[in-house]
Amino acid sequence: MRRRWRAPWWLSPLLVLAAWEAASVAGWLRRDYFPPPSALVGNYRALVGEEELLRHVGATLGRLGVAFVLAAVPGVLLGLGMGLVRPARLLLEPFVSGLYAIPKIALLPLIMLVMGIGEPALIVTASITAFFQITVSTMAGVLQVEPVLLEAARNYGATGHRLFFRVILPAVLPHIFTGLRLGLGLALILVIAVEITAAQTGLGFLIWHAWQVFRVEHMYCTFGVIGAIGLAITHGLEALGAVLMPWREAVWRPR
Amino acid sequence: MSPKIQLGQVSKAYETPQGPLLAVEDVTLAVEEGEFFALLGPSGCGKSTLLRLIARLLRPTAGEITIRRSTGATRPQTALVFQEYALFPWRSVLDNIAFGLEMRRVPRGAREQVARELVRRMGLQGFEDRYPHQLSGGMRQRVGIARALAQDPEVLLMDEPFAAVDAQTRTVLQEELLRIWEEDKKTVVYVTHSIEEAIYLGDRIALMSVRPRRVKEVFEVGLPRPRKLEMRGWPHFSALALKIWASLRDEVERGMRGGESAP
Ligand SMILES: Nc1ncnc2c1ncn2[C@@H]1O[C@H](COP(=O)(O)OP(=O)(O)OP(=O)(O)O)[C@@H](O)[C@H]1O
Ligand SMILES: [Mg+2]
Repeated sequence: MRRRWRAPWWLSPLLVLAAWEAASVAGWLRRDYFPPPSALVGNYRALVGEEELLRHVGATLGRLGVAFVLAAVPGVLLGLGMGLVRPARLLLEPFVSGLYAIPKIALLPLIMLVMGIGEPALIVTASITAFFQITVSTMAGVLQVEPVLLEAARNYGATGHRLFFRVILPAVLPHIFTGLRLGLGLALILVIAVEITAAQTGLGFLIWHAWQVFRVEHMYCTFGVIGAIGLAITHGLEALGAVLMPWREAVWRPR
Repeated sequence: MSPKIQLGQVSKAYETPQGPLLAVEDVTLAVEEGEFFALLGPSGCGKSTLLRLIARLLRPTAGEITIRRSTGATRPQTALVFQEYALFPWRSVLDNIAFGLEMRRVPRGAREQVARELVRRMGLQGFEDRYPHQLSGGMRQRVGIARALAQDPEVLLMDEPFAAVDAQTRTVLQEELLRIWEEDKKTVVYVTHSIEEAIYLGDRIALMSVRPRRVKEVFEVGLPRPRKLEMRGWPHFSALALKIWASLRDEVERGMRGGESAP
């Protein structure tokens, strides 16, 4: 059987950049708002030199990492708890569903009021969205475990911690992973957002700063870095999932 | 000696949004130790529900089910081969087969030995490390059977295990099942749609009716053991098949006219 051709992951970004380049060079786009990508490549050096790009990347990744762990650990635990314990689910579900819908960036002023201005407030704000996403995905995963698998587990003698660790957890793992992937993406968005709003470091700050000094090229270069981080996160987690769950047919990868 | 499995006036109602649905109604049955007991009936007559009741995955709404324990036995009472396979997608063929042993804390070496022996007997060699999604329906069901046999249960419960395989494979698997069963004459309750299969494998056949959902009639097969393929050509075989079909036909027709509505 012939293998179906699959577009490499870099194809669509490359096409967009090429179209943009052509439009910009042809003068269809205003160069000072939409500089051609070829002109931006050289700008990275300036960004690294003048604006200490790497320091800001480090700041963003640091916040992202802490925010993600703060979201993932309680999110998975709460999601499992709500999925497994019916009273907990009935009690908490209205809160979770209600808060899930509130844009968490709106909580930043409140959180700064409570926690004081500074890193902790930024990180907590960034982690809340991811926390809800991970909780909801994990809970949904528990509820979607096929009843017949639980029957098989029972008939073949699985109880207590063996039922949990050898049946329920592996059955829910793909859903947890989906939640983590979505959560990490959301955490990145929120970290950038709080940095734009209230930080002196990080890629979000860099975008804001570029706007203030009107360095449009810096802005685009920063977008590029954020995009690359997003891409690495998504593909990295997917690759990790494939290693951890070899039984699972890739559900997410476009085919 | 008392029967191995005894069902006394067992009923089971499922709670549904439309109200309770009687899936099994007032069934009284006795299955003897070492008997190969076939449950035959049209779709939706409650066969799977009855097996789940015997496996204690469901509680009867009324009535009582007893399984007599062999003295001093430590093996599980029942092992169910599910109509839907119900294999664990994250476990390889070998690990699926060994699941029950693992839950009983049989050491790794011993359970691997049992699982490998069953892989051989079920013709799954070369697929030990595959995951269920990489197998055909027939192979998945063989893994399900191997998982049940690995338990060495007192009662083997099988829910239409060969419904999804082609006719030739089915014949081979039926012969293999009979061979395995002849070795230790385990008590088996075997659910099937097929009259021929029920006669070829069973000692007795309970025919279930759709409305009401209960055991309508029990037939003695009366063919000698061990069973041979050529017995399917015996006059006694076809006469029995006709007799069962005459009784079953009413049920199938009634089922097609809508067995779901209340009587
Ligand atoms: N979990 C459930 N909840 C509600 N109704 C159910 C449930 N399981 C089965 N039923 C209903 O109970 C009746 C008997 O179902 P059952 O699965 O026992 O039939 P069956 O004889 O095994 O059918 P088949 O040969 O198609 O497998 C059917 O009408 C079915 O719709
Ligand atoms: Mg059934």
